[in-house]
Amino acid sequence: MSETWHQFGTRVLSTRLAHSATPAVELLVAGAILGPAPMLDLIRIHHDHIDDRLDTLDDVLVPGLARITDDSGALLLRLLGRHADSARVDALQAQLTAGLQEFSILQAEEAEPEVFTALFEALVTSDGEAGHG
Amino acid sequence: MALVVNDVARGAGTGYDHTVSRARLATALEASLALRLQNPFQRTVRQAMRAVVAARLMPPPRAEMAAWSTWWRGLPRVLRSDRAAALALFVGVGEGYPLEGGQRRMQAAAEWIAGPCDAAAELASRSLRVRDRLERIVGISPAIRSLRAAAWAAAFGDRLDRTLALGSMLQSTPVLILGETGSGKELIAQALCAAAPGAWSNRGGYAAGHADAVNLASLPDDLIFSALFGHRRGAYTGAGGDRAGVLEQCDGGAVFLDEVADLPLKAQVALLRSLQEGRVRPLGADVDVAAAPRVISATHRDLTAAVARGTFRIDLYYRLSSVVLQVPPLRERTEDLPLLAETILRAVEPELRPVILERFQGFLAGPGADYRWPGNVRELAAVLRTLALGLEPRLLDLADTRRPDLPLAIQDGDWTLDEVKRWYVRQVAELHPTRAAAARQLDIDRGTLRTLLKT
Repeated sequence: MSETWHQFGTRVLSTRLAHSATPAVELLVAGAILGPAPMLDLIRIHHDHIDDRLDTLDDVLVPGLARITDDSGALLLRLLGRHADSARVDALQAQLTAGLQEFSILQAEEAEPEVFTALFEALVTSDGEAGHG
Repeated sequence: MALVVNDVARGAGTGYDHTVSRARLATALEASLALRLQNPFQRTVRQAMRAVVAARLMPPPRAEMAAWSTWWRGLPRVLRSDRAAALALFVGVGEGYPLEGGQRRMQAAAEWIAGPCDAAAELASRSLRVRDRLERIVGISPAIRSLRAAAWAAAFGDRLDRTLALGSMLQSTPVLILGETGSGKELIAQALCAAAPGAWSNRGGYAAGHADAVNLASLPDDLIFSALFGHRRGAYTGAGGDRAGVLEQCDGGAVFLDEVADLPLKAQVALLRSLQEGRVRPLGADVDVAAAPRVISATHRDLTAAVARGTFRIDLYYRLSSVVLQVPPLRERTEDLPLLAETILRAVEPELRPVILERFQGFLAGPGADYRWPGNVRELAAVLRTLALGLEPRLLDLADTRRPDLPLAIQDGDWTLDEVKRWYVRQVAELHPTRAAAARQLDIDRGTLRTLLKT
């Protein structure tokens, strides 16, 4: 298993995004866990699906946008913030962070591929409920 | 463990379809049950558990209750009447859920069990609380993973079904947590305090055991007695009413004594007595009262140096250090920085997190590349706050003053001049092939060197 946790996390969030009714949640979590650049990559990949749900997305997306620290980036983050329930972002981020921690431990323990698949499926299908015990 | 896994995996290929012999299935189910009760943070247990779940011998975390019901009904009758099986069931159904959600599932599962199951449900609830606390200690480094496993063992021993039998022994086994300032000692202490026995009722849910914390460095000496042992009205000027000390309040539960190295000598004597007898005498009282909490203590200081200096009693040191947990400093687990940063950043608004994370990634690639994080996780949080404000973090590099080759006591300024002198003379003597050469380096004669080495 040569996939990095960055790649794994991107794959999880990308799969979730493809079916998400509230993509702003997944995008903000992507930005908080993976960084702004992967978040922008996800926006590009799922542009049409996200645009259907965030109607002003194209107003703030500048073609060729590469960094998020400029004015357009700040506008985009404010737009996402308006469309995301922060409790859901917190819950999903907590779950993803725990999942990525588990992923790294599995890698260190050289776990079987099926176990990674099980973790991926669990993270993709989780409902974002907070807490463990 | 490997034998168990292989056996389970072979016998389990058919899952619940019962085409394997009943005896074989019973053995496999018994093995899966035993696994469920072992230290979940231990590598071998985790691997074996995954094999068992993958072989469909046990439902995965957050499985439907119907799957657990099938698993329970598949257990041989002799196992179903065993408390260990009830414990495994409660842990299994509650795992992966917030406390209340897990309780509801446990209540449902309690109906399948013939006979009383309160003790099993209580321990299962407690173990899930502790697991939740330990999972909050963010990190993937081997050092932090070992720490989580050791903390779990300190809380419950090696198997949950033996924990209840170990009850009084666990309760009287203190834990000492060592680690630099800001390294996360308190999180470990909170997890161990959550392991204090509570109460479970299948109607009212779970009530946690009594636990409290005292920071001994923040209290004036004359208030430490009152805080720990309590007082009676009129015991001293200003003692307007009776007050139970924290040891009495947490009788049967757990107490966390933070910065225990700062405990005054007189209070050390009283604490030692209370640990030995399980009783304390509040100031101004005529009789002792029961006070036998599990004592969790922590310090960032070198306690053995304090013992050598005479500021910490050796008998108390031995009494407190039955189990010692060493929290690694952040500089020894820098692979944990990204996950720690994400966790800390959850305190800010979601739309700001990506910006701060980007700044932090830039910081790690630039000025923070080889930073030693002397303030550990607490300092990391401060750096992230500074970055959030758009400011340049002020790095406090103690490389010149904090040297791993020097005893912590010297760096903390805890030794007297005589102690430093004796330590330095021994160091120089060891570094030179002859005593004459060492004496020359120290600019003293050989006779003085001999005398200093004897002291």
